[in-house]
Amino acid sequence: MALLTLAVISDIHIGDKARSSDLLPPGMTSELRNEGFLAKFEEFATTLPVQPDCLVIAGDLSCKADAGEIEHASAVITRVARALRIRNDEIFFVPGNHDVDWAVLRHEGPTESTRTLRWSQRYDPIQRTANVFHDRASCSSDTGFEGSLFDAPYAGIWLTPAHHLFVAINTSALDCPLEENHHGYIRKETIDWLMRKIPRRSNADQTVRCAILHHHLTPHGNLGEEARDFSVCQNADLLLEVLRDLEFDLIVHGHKHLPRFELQLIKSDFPIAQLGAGSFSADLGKEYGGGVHNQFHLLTIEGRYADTGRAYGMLRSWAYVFPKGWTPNIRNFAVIEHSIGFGGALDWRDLAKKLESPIAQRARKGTFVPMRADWIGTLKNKFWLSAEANEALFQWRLNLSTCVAFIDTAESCLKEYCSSVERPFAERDLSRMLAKSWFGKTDKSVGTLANLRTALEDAEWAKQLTSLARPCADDEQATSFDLQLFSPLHRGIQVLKRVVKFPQGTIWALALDELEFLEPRHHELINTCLRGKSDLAFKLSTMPYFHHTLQTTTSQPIVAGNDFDYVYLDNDPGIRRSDPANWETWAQSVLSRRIAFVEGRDHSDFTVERLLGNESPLLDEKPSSWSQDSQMMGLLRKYSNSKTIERAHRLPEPKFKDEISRKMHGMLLLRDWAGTHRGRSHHDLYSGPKFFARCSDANPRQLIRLFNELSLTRSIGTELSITESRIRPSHQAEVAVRFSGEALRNAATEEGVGGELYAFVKNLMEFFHDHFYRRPLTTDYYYAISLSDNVSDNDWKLVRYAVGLGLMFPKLTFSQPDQLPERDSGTFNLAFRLAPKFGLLPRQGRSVPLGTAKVVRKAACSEQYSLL
Amino acid sequence: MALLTNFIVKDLTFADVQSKYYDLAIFASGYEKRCTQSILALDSNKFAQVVVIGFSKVVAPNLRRRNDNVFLERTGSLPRNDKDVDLPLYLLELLSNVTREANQADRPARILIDYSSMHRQWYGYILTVMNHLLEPRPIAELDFLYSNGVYPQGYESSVENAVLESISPLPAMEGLSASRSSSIAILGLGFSPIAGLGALERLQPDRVYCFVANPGSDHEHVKTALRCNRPLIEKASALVELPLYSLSTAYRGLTELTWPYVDRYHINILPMGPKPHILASMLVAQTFRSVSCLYGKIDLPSGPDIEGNGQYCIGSVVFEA
Repeated sequence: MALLTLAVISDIHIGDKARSSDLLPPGMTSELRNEGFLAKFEEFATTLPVQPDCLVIAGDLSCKADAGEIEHASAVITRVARALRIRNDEIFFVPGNHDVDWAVLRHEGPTESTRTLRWSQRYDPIQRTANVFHDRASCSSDTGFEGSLFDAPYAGIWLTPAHHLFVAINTSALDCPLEENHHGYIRKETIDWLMRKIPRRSNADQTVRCAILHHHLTPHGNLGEEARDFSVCQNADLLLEVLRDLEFDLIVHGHKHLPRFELQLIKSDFPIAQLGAGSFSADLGKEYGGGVHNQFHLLTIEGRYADTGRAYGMLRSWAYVFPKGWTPNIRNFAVIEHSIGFGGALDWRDLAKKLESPIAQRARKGTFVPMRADWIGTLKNKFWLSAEANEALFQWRLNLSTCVAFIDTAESCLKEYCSSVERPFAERDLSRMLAKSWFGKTDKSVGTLANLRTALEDAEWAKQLTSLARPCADDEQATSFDLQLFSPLHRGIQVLKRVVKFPQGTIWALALDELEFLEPRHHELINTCLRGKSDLAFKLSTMPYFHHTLQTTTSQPIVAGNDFDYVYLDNDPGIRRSDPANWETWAQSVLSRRIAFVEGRDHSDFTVERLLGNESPLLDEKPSSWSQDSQMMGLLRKYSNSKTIERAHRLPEPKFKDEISRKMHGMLLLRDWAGTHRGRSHHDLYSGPKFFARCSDANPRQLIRLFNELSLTRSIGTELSITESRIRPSHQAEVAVRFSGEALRNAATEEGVGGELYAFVKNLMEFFHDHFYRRPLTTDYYYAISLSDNVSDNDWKLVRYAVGLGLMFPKLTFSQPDQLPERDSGTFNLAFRLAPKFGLLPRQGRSVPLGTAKVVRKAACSEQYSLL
Repeated sequence: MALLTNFIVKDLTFADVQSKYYDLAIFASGYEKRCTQSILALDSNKFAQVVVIGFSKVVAPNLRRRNDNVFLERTGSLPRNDKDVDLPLYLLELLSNVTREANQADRPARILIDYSSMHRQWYGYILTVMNHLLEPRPIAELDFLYSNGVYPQGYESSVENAVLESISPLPAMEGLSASRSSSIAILGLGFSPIAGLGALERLQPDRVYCFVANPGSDHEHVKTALRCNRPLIEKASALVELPLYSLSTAYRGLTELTWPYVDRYHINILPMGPKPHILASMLVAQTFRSVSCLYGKIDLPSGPDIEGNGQYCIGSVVFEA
């Protein structure tokens, strides 16, 4: 049973900013249509999957805070609460900036005392009329309320009969019409008051602590240039630290009509679930391009982990769509999903921070198991096995492989924790105990971990033969590897803990790599282990989009955000968005570390410039102006359309750089080369540190591959080395084009889908090539595709594979860098490293619909890139 | 070092085969003419028992009917399709009976296998049965016969764009992929560069070697294989040339290549070239338990009706006491 379920709404805006005429106060006239909003909500409330325990309202009850609006807001909230079967004493709220009566503040008083009087009257519509808000914010033992929302300390505390704590903090207390931006403000006194009033938690405390504010404590990301966020609370950092120290579980806020939900990390070690509730009933028609809908949420705290005290649960959100009514959120029109688990798994940022200290203390132990084709192939070649027998074989093999990999971990632990004198004895004891644990018998011949490895190889070989000899299969004896998945590994960890003393709180992690090649039923078996309580942390790697299923072997599927988190690791979106100089710095850092790793010593004197020179002709910073008789202006006149030429002549210097030279320099150079050269001559445009950094697509592995190609093609047999002298630009260009061709050709190697995928990506690249070379240039460069809801199954399959192989990259947001676009939406950039093969620029570009890009005028394409 | 076998590999001439009497001859009836090349050239009276296995998958019925009729005429029986019998069990019983009877008579069992058009799983399973599944260990001579084919002009280029559909080890030749994390890949070059690179991508080995059939049946084939696999060869530590017509040399060459690694690595051999090299790879996998012989499935349109050119590559695998 859940600890608590909150129904959450915000920004009701009763008055003429509401979306339906039944939200207008009696007597107020407006052109609003009557959508039957409240009746629809009442109908919807009967269908909720969970009965909420309380109703939380995060401010902006009204539009202008006049008495009529407040009175009607009270009636509406009461009706909403009744529909949810919530009593008035289970309502918790905070006023918002629209609940301050600006009308009274607009009139400057003649004296200081008059102004003070007016200031004290700004909450009169709530305080001096009969309404549910006034009732709930009155101090009494009946309400369980302490403090004041409308006067100092501008905060209040409700303690429920079940001892759950709701804290309302009025962040709009200083709001007045004179301010340009209505940001939130948290007074230092308010924070001090909270610290005095709220006790620290005891260890056994299972109750929930929830903070309700109108303004947000952290900036909203992804709002676009036109909707910059100026309204974040001042002093938010101070409040967040207090909430962290007092171990609050939830922060609910309103103000922004764009809903959001995230785990907010405070002081790097304590996550608080933060819900921006959006708006319940304001007219959102013109906001955010009409893409956001009214929201209702149920936030359930399922329980609390005994070891960390951390709460976990589920957020469910619905959107109001006229005329349909309330419907589960889908990402088409709401930023957050309908169902989001939280608290069950570590967010990667959380994890990264959490690992800092344990890594320093060496309190994380990892075991790595890759799933190569030969490993997986052994599950596919036994056509005579039933599905059940095949699953059993998978389980057996994975158990064996994790045990083999665990021996490496154990060996490393012995080296780390045992002195050289102790180590042989510890190894003997450990290997015998592990042998006993895994094989069920004491084997005196096992005295080292090497012996144990051989014993596991013997087991694998014997299994191979017994799986062949079907007539004898029934005689096979079950071993510990036939037990539940990962149970031999668990046993191994326990045994190792008996031999070696580890730091308290040591966490054991198992990394399984390349799981995309497994069957869905294998993923089900692994998923099941994520669901159960375990001391083992898992890192499962698949290609993007290739975690085949969320199903488990039980009826309950795993839930992203609850049982686990998806982290998109294919590249660093921060690097992809940054300017070429940052790419170069990043490449320098990756390669220096790689060289240090390979050669085992510091190579701070290594620089990418030493290998590739200082110039990247296509990407270097451009001069801010081109004189009329300059070569570049000549190229602009030769290859651009008239509108672009006219614009170039018109723009003043700083704008010229931003809008013309920066965008067109590389394009013009490429066009000019292709336009003036024929045959198999080579150019050196594809050269320089910035260019090669770009062609790695912000993926360190690709960067290392690319640089190995550069050095290997010069002196066979050497890996990336700092001793190499500078590589000729023409050779760099040759390598770039070849590397690019190989990247495309590798698409054809993908099992089962290769030929089709190769043709698909090649077709798209030919389209962009054609688009670039056959038309007069403009400042727009095209190098991405966009999907619509009519994308075919097959195209979507190919896009997923292309993303999986790093030939395309979904356009991600900073706020949700791990959330991959769904089938019916999203923009996908083509990989930069494909560009050289097709004579294109490795640069982000505008998108064209997939349907358009698939149509290629084949005749003219190959001519250009065969030159390059 | 875990040596699994006591067999030796020898080369034979076609005259050697013609002169021998066999307890059992196994043929495959498929869709190319060369599958009947040897049965037409050999005296079937020298076979105590003949088994012809047919492909259940229908590709070119007319060609199949033609070949079936040749077998009917020469041996008196029609092929049994692989899906019509439990083939592994059938082969186990067949080989068990044949070797037991011969060994009880205190002589080695003599078995001829024409694998020119045979699925690699079939002759791989024959090897596995002989090497691992029979008790007591049989004494036998398995003569593997391969009829070299005449490929039509442009055959190589028709295969060049072939894509790897799947990759998996042959049963009982799986190596130690679960118990060893480091691996070596040894890739036999065919005419499809994509397949080789695909295999490399999927196997992610620590080290790569390539081998190619040279001398082969046609020098142009060698040149084509080297040309179209250049990107793969560039990634390899070494390229080893092994003759097409000597099974024993190919086997020894591959054994020498794998030998330094068998104690520490899981070794994947993926032969994508001619069948004698597939057989040699299987024999290496039968020799060392850490060696796997992989089958990279390439989905090609139905191939041409290859005719034998009269040359044979014949190797004898002799199981001694």
